[in-house]
Order: sequence, then C-alpha cells, then structure tokens
Amino acid sequence: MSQNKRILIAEDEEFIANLYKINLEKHDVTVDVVPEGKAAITSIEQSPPDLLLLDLLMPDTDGFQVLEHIRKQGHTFPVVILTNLSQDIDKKKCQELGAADFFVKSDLSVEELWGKLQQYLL
Amino acid sequence: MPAGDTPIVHPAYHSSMTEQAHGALHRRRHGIVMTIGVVFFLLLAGVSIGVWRYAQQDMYHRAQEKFEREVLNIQQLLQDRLDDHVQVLYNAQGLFIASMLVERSEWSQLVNRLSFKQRFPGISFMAYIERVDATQKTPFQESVRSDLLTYPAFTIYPDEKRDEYFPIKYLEPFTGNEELLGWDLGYEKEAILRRVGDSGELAAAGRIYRGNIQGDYLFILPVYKNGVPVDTVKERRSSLIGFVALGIRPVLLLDEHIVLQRDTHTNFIIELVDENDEILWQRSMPRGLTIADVSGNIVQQVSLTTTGLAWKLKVSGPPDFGLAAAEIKMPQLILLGGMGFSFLIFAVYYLIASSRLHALALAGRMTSELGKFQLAVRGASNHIVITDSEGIILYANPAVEKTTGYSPQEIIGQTSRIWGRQMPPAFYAQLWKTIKENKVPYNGEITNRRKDGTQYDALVHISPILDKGGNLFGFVGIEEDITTRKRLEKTRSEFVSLVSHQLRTPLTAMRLALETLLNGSAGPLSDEQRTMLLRSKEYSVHMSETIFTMLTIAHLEAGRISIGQDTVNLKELFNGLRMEYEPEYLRKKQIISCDCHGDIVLSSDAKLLREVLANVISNAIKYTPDSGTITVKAVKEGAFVHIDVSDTGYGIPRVQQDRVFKKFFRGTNVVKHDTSGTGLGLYLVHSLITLLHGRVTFVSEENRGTTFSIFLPLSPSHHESKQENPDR
Repeated sequence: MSQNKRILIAEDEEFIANLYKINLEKHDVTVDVVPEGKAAITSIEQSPPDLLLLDLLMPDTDGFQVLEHIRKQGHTFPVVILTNLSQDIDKKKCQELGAADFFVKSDLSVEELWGKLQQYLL
Repeated sequence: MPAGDTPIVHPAYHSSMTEQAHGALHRRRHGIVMTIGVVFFLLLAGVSIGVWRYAQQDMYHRAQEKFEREVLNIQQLLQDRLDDHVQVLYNAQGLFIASMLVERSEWSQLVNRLSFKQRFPGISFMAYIERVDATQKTPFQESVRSDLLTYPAFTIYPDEKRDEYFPIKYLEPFTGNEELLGWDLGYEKEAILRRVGDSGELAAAGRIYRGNIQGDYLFILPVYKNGVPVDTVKERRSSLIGFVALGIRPVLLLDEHIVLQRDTHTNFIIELVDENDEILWQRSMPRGLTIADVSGNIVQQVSLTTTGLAWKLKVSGPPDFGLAAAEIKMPQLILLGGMGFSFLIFAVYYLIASSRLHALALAGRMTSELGKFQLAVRGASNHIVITDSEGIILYANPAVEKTTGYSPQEIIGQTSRIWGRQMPPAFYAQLWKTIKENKVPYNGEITNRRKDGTQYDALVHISPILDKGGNLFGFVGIEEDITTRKRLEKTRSEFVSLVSHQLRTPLTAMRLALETLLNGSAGPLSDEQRTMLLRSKEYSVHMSETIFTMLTIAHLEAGRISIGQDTVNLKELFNGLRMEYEPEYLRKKQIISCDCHGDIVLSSDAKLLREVLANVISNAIKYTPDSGTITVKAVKEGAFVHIDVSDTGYGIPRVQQDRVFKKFFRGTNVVKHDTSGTGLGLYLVHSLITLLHGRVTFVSEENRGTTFSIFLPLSPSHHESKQENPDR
C-alpha cells in the first residue's frame, strides 16, 4: 500500500534523521532527509513528497516557516510534526498552520510512529 | 506612590469611631424625640381630661337647670291647681251674697255646675256650715229634717252643750260623706272658725278625720248677712251667718297632674309633705323609693302656700335629669375622642419623627460608608476609573498614574482612548458591544500605551453600572499592569520548553538507536547484548516519562494546561499500557489481570488520563515484589466510572498515609527496593484527577498491598454532579 511512497524528513540532528530513515525504509517507503528548513523547501519545490515529517527547531528556517511556505504554495501533502517541543501553544500553532498531526519524538518508538503514519500514506 | 502611602489602619479606625458616634447620636436624637412626643401627648391628654370635666360639669349643670325648671313647673301646676280649688269657695260664698236664703237645691245646683269630678278632682267635699245659736238648735234640727226627708235623724253632733254650734248643713257630694252632715265643727275647730269669721278671709283650717274623711284639708270662708256692713271685726262678728267649707284631698289633687314617664326618669321621686314633715303624697320611679333611700340625686324643695297653709314639695331626680342618652354620653365621648386624638397625634408625630431620624441615621451611615468606599478606592493598588455611559471618565484613582502615566486630573473628562487604541478597531467594537449593549462585564487582557509611549499589558475588568430599571448608568474599569508578570511567565515557559527539548533530543537519539539495534537493523545481537539493550531501552522510556511528568507538573502549576475532550475506551487504554509495561512485569514474573465490565467509554482528556493510569499501574508494578499480582477493575457507577488498581505490594506505612499525594512523597519502606522514583507520580495523579473533575482515594496495608480507587465523570457534563459523593 505504501509502495513507491516518498517521505521527506526535515531534521537538523543528522543521527536521529538517519535512524528514522533506516527504520522507516524497512516498510518499503523511500525516505529523503534534509538538515534544515531551507533545504526542505528546495526539495519540496523540486519534488513534493507524499508525507513530510517536520522538526520545528531547526537553524535558519524553522518548521513553522516551512509550514507557512507550504500552505502559501498550496501544497496538499500531509505534514506531520515530529519535534521535542511539547507545549500546547506550539501544537496549537502547528494545527493552525495546517499540520496533520503532532508527535513528541521522545515519547514514541519507531514502530509506534510507523503505526501512526500509515494512515497518511494510503 | 501616594496611594500606597495611605495608611490602611487609619480610615478603618476612624470609621469605626464614626460608627459609634453615629450610634450614640442616633440614640440621643431618639430620646429627645420620644420625650417631646410624650410631653406633647400628656399635654393633649390633659386638655382632653379638662374638656371632659368641663363637659361633665356642664352636663350636670344643664341637668340641674332642667330639673329645677321641671320642679318649678310642677310647683306652679300644683299651686295653680290648689288655688283654683280653693277659689271654688268664693263661688259658694257668692251664692250666699246673691240671695238671703240659699236653698239646699240651689247648693246642689251650684256644686253640679262646678262639676267637681272633672274640674276639681282634689275636692273631696264642699259644705255649708251654719252658725246656730244654742237657743236655735232644736228648730234648726227640725228645719233640716223637714228639708231633708231622706235623713230624718239629722242631729247636730257631738251632742254637747255650747253657746253656738257650727254644724254642716249642706254637703256635696253627699254619698260617701254622710257622716259629716250635722257635724259641729265648732267642737274641734272653734278657735279657727272664730278667727276666720273675724278676719273675713279664706283660711285653711287643718286636717279633719271623720268617717271616710281621713286627713283631708279643710278650707273655710265666712258668710255674712246681706246688706250690713262688715268692715270691722265687730260688724263681722255680729253679721256672721256661717261658713262655706271645702275638703281638699292631696292625693286626688296631685295624682291627676303628675305623670311619671318611665322612659325619661330613673330614681325620680316626688313627695308632698305638710308643715310637720308628714308625707301627704308620694310618687316614685321605681315604685317604693323615698328620697332618703337615694343618694347622688338632685333634690329640690319648694313650697306650696295658700291661705296660710305651707306644704312642701320635695322632688328628687337623677344627676343627668332630662338629658338625652347622647347628651349623657357626650363627656365620655369627648374624653375618649380626646385621648384617641392625642394618641393619634402622638403616633403620627412619632412615625414622622422616627422615619426622619431613620433617614438621618441612614444618611449618616451612607456618608460614612461612602467615605470608607472612597478611601478604599483611593487606596487600591489597581487602577480604577468610573465613567459615564459614553465612557467619559468621571473619577480615576491615584493608581491610574502608575499604570498609564497620566494623573487623574489629566484624564478626568477624557476617555480611555488616550492610553488605549493599541488593539485592532474590531476588538474595541466588540468590547463596547459586550459592555454597552449586552450590559455584561468584560474580562480580558488588553495592550495599552503609557503617556511616555511605551506599551504595557493589562488585565482589564470593565463592569457596566446599571440602575434599578436596568438602564446603563456608566462603567467601572479596573486595570492591572501584568507586563512584568507576562514577561516572567514567557521567560519561564521558554526556559522549560528549551530544557525539555534539550533533554529529549539526546533521549530520542538513544531510544532510536537502541530500537534500531534491537530490531536487528545494525546486525545480529547475542542474547546477552539483547538483554542489556532491552534494559537500556526501559531506562530511556522511564526517563522520557519522567520528563513528561515534570513538564506536566510545571504546566499544571502555571495553570497552562488545557483539557482536551477525547473519546477514551478504557479497555483499549489498559491494553496499551499493559503492552507498554510488558517487559517489566514479565521480568518480575507478575500477573496483571484487567477486568473491565463491557466497553467503558468516557469523554475526557486522553493524554492526561493515560498519564494518570500509567503512573498508578507503573507504581503497582514497581512496588510489588516478584510473582505478585496486579488487578485493574473498572465499573460504571451512575455518572462516574470507578477504577480500582490493586496490588499485592509493599503497601504504604500507616503513619505516612496522609502524605501520599504530597509532592516528593516516597514511602520509607520502598526506598530500599527502588531508588529511581521522583516522588512526583502520585502528586501528579492527584492533581490531574482533580483537574479532570474526579477523585482518588486509596486503602493500603503494609506488606499486604494497596488499592487505588479513581472516580472520573463519564462526560464533562457530569462535573456538576461530582459532589454526589462518587465513591459511595
């Protein structure tokens, strides 16, 4: 079902991003990783992914700016926020900017994350 | 600032003194009002009594006058009657003057003509007494006998030898008075007969007792020869031929004319007494009373005199003689009316005076209250303004200067726009709609601008002031400058956010790495390696949970937790938690049983509820020795769900049980088994359940186990009914 789907991960911690990539690719999806917001925007403009896993705190352009850009450009792929910020105010802001879901990285195992992402790759 | 410098003790002390002074003043005024009222009442009452006494005296006086008039009437009537009666004798005398010899038939005619019974009922008889010389006795007797054929035994009696006799020759009415015929009055009344004969005047000759005549009064008038002079005593003596006599019976004289009317007189007594005070005649109402029997009556005595006779008429009547019932009651009515009027005047005066006093006291108290109120507003540290219904500022307290930079004098007469206008116009439109049209208070945060141009955040409360009819009178606005507080809160929030982020990032890396190793993505693992990595993963999960707990508590205490409304299936929640804690309880060879009656679904915050149950269940696992049992039971009870988490663990020492839900609490008996606890778990459980409108209790026995009982509303609409003692 998720074959040929492409997930873009915007995550400044390269080690973490790669661990997500390794574990998610076991489920037959293509995972691309970008280290910050600007690169994410560039990647999206070149080829929009089927799902974007977006970190919020990133150097230069942060996750909120990326979300705003995506909405302005009229992209419709789902964006799931994967961050270690957990305040309600952040969560609320992301919802307002059109994020599909909001997860705290440290609270989820990779398998739990995959369980929750599948609905966006149908 | 000046407002802060105002001593708070001063006005309170001052006002309490003022209140005492008001009380004393009020009591003194009340005393004066009462005294004036009572004096006034007594004066009016005194006047009433005076008028009553005057009216009573006047009444008695009028009664007396009436009585006297009545007595005079009676006297006049009787006197006239008596005189009339006696005058009859002159008629009889006239008969003798007119003719030398008066025949018996002429005498009868005269008497009949006078119709005694009708016109002179008091006359018991009228007689002609002839002067009979001793030598003429026999011829006189024979002449009468021949004249009076029906009375052949006529004789002068008593039979006694005398020079002259004065026998009754003619007598009318004859029937009943027969015994008088021939009676010689000279025998008893010679002296008076001679005196009357000498004087030529009508005279009373005392009472007579003879036969049926018992005590009648006798009046006599001399009769002289015709045609001879009777100017001197001597002439009269020589020419006397006899007397005409009249018997007057007082009973007959009076009865006819005195009528006592039962309706008008009570205790009314009339007595006629003679000169010897012997009662001649008496009438009373009621019958049988005499003047001596009655006291308190008016008594009047008048004389009836005729021809030397002196009768006394004694009349006794009630003090209110002759007055109508209304006249008699008038004095009492005047007294009652006067007293009633006095009391009415007193009552009206007292009511008016006391309501005026009350108003004065109220005004005094209000002035004092207003003073206190003004002091309180002046001294308040919050900025307070009072405006009219258009927002024009009528009053501003000194604290206004601290928040806005404008002095009260600068802003009175202005509107709050001079420090406002920092929010979008739509916001102000909505605000005005709320307070002016909907007339409900507004509460919220507004950004304003000080006189020096800097912005500040204010917590604003604006209340419309409505009169009794619900009409808008104005507004009271209270502002609190929360700029500093907001800045501190923001800093704190950012700090917590940053710390948690910084802690979580390495944790995430560790957790992901461990998971990647464990799922074999980095190559196969030996059993020993796998065991070590599994334990590492457990620690990382615990750490993640601890961070979550601490952040939740931080948010909770800052009041920044928002409660979501999710549909939570308890069974699914338990199963998820059981899976999560599976490595731990399997390692400790514990048995977890889950007993949920049917699918219990509640509307609550899923994340917070999960946090509550995760804490309670992980505690149970952590503080129950190997091979122990943990039982989770859930059952619906009315509008609540009742969840029991029981274990066969170490329990909580009895002496510590009252501190279980306090922050950093750790049982002294469990510290030796587990050193990793923070003492925050049950504190968080208690705080979150309270936030979710639930309740948590526990029963514990050391070394036997603990049961935590959680009661939560099935839906937020049941929050109100949570007071119904959900743990029953």
